[in-house]
Amino acid sequence: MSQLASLPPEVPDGQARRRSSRLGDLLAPTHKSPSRPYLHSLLWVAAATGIAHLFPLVDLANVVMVYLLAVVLVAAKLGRGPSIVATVFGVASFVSFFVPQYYSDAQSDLRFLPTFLVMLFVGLVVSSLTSALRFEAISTNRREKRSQALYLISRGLAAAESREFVADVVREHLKGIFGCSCQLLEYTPAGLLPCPRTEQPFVLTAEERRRIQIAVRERATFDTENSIFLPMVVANETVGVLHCQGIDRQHLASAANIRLLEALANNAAIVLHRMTLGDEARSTQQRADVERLRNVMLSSMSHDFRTPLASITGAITTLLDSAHRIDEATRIDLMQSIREDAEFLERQIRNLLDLTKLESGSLEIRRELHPMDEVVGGAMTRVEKALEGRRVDTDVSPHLPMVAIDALLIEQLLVNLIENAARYAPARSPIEVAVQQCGDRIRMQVADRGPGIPSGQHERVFEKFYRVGGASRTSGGGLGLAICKAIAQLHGGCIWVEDRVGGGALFQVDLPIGEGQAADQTAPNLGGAL
Amino acid sequence: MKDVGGAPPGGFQVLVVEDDEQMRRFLRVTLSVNGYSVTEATTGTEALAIAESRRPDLIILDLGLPDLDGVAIVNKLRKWFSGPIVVVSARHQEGDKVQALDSGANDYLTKPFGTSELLARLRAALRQTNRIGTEPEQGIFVSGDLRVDRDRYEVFVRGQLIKLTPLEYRLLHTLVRHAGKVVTRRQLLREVWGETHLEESHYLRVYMSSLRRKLEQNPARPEWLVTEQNVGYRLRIE
Repeated sequence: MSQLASLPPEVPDGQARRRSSRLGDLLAPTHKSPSRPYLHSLLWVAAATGIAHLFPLVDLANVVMVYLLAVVLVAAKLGRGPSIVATVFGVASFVSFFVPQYYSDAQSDLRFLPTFLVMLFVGLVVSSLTSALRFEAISTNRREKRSQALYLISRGLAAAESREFVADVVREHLKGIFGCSCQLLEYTPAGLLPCPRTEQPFVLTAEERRRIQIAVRERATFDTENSIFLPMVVANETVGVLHCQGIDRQHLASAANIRLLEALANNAAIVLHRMTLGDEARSTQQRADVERLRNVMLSSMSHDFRTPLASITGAITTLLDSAHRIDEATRIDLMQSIREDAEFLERQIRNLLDLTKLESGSLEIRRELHPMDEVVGGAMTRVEKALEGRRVDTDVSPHLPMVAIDALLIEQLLVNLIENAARYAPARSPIEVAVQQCGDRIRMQVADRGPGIPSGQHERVFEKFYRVGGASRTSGGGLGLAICKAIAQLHGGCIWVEDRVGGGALFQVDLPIGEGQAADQTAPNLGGAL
Repeated sequence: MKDVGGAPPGGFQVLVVEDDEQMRRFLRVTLSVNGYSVTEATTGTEALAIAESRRPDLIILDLGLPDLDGVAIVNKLRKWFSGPIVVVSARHQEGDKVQALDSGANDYLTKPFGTSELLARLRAALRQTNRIGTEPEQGIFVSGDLRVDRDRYEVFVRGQLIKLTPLEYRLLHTLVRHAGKVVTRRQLLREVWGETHLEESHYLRVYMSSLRRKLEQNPARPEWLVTEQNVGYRLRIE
């Protein structure tokens, strides 16, 4: 752990990977042949015998100590089995080489029997204690390495932002620790699919497929000849299966390794689950937005269409049924209201179609160079009737360059702004339309002396179906300004509204003049003389 | 030649080609009330047959007929029919409308249109064709404060002589010749610049813009030189 604590706070991936591969070496079992430690233990016994012979020892007790030392060392280095062998052979060597040297009669053999037994007993106890200690140390070490590996994986997964990344982290670490390849199989409505989806799925046998189904159902790990399948479980739900291919069977013998793999699979499962939930939340949000807009649209449409239709039907019914009872003035009034309603319906349908076309991107914008006074003039001609003689002051700078625009759309934008102003501003107040150049942009302004925009709604007036002061037919269909915004954006321009000094609203549109407009300023004089 | 100047159109016969019954009804009532006699056709084929047998003075042609393409009908009619053709289009038929005008239709109406608009267009169209042939390019044209003396190539606005370049004059002259009626961009380009410059609408815009600056008090609110966006120009008459 101290090793981890000394890490810099941000470990680059490469470094983390190197670390995990080093961990791999430590976690891997030793590949030496199993009889080797026993031969080693015999060598140790032989060495003890040699030492006792070479250096003449005063007392037999000292000789016993030398043998016990060998047993302790063997137990510490090589484990329990070899140390038992060392004890037995040590006692045997002691009896064969040293007892006869000191005592030659048979009687003495019997006298030293307790010594042999005590020596054997002490040897066995020491060997078992020491080897237990050794085993403890080794497994502590391995446990630490495993938790370190898991820590690194968790950290990698926590930072994951995509399924690709999750798969990469898991793959890297498993490659480093166990040297195997792996694949995450995620549960989707379409079945168990590789994660990320772009990945080529591992080839599975029919048996493996069948057992994967069982693994998923019973949430149980299982392994085949060279693979292990781990269910990925979050909150009692199987989100997928981790398939490790080409893993060494020796690794699977260790329960701790299996636990590590399972922990890793669950870690990945949590992250994938989190991503799925995030995706769901996002799409739910989107659906809710679409739903909300649709509701607004439906209620607005049903209001906008049914109210005028109802009033048209009503007026006509009155005209037909009570013709003799109504005077001329009422008759004209009713018929005018019919006309206004019909015009409103026409405008509303046209706006809806326009907006749908603009927003769906199906509209091809045809940019050509146009003089702005012509565009303003076109708009003025179109709104003439709606203005009913109201004063409109136009101020188009005479030195404007031609502008690359779709004239029909920009004309529509101006028409909508002027109609909007006419709708809200008092009948006698003038509307002002101005166009001037601001650097590489053209600025169009439509100003009125109406009530202005309520504070905080300057952005919202450009939203679909938004009406200042609630829905009423005189306030229009709530689409005109949304269309203006769409048109301005199609031209790479922008539209906004400001409060006007002295009251009223000032709508401004900035459009890029467009490139190359200078080149086409003059037309060739092909006509010649008359 | 029938009299067109006054209010009653004096029994001009109009062929209404329209497949929608309500629309036909509206046109029939409106036109009859205003002194026109009306014949109706509901398909293109029927229209061609009736036009041939009845020889109407004017044809109102809807561009969205079920059987034949409106532009094709205009082309067929124009082989022998010299009277005015006014096409009626819905908003999504912009392209068809311009094509029909280029093929020889005299004017257009976009649905929905009001009675006054309809009658004004018909009057202009009838005046137009009646003038052609008798005094096509000469005489003095007057519309409000605008006076074009085509014999002397002089243009006056509010009594002031305006100096125009030859091209500007030809442009104005072409519009005057079709006064009150829309002239498509192609038509103008053909008549002023010639066949080889039919696609160069920006020339037209530049010259129209300078012509407007010379004639109009406020070019952004033209009195005479009206732009019909994406179609062409119209010289408005009082």
